[in-house]
Amino acid sequence: MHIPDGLLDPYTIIATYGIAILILSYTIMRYRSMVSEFEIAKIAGLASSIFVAQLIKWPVPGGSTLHFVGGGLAGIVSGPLGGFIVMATVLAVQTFIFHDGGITAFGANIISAGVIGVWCSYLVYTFLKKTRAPFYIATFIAGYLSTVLTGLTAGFILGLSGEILGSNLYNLRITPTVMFVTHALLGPLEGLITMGVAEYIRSRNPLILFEGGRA
Amino acid sequence: MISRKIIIMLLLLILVSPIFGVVLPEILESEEYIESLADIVNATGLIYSPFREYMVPGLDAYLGYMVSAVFGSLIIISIYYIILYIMRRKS
Repeated sequence: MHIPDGLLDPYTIIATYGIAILILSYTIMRYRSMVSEFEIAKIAGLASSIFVAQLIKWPVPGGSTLHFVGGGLAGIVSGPLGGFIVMATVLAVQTFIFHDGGITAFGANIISAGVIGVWCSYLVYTFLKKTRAPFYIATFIAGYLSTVLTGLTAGFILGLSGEILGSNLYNLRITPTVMFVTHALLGPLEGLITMGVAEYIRSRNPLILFEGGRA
Repeated sequence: MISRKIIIMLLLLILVSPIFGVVLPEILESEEYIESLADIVNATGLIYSPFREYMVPGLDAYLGYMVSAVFGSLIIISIYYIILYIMRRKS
């Protein structure tokens, strides 16, 4: 769902870059104090796995394809700060080496997949854990909502840009709806993968999960 | 630093990735919604990368996709190795 170059208007590019840089600076500042060798090893494994998992795409009805996003899993395994760093690394490699996602849209892609996707998952997972929901339900719903909100955010940014550019092809009436529907269809699969991987990690070594899975 | 289990999982994913990333989209003629928008408005990238869209010059799409997957994951792991190296030197 990476937004490529050529679709965003200059105002949106500047605004999204500004927000992304602010959040990235804040995250790095806070994350530095809690980072350890174990944590670095964890996010290295997570980031490389999410990068490769995103290469596996599957078709959805209507001639479109989608892929696993991973923001939900990153939020559950590494928490909101580590998860954001994971997604930012994956996006940076995809954008600057493989052109999967535009350089002008890097800020927008960081906001949708890195900020919204990770924080949504972390907050939903934490809330559900507090309500004593079973682990597999909490992780499934967190993964599901994370991908839907990630798609919706990307659709909103793209739609807003289309409005500014006066595009008939993508605008606030069309794009957020299309992105919401396609990601709502992808959602259960994203939720299942998130749940499966999180459950596997928990069964092997719960200490790998953020705060030992006690969040 | 990276456990053997993760490396095995990465290799398995890399082996099957071209089936889902190259073969299936070609057979079903399916494309991501946002990418189809970019094709219609004829959007082009801002910088040149020889590995554009997970292709490797001189290799076919299938093999190029796998090589890109290996290359990308190695870059990510290297970034964190460098951070770890700096951390160890500082302490």
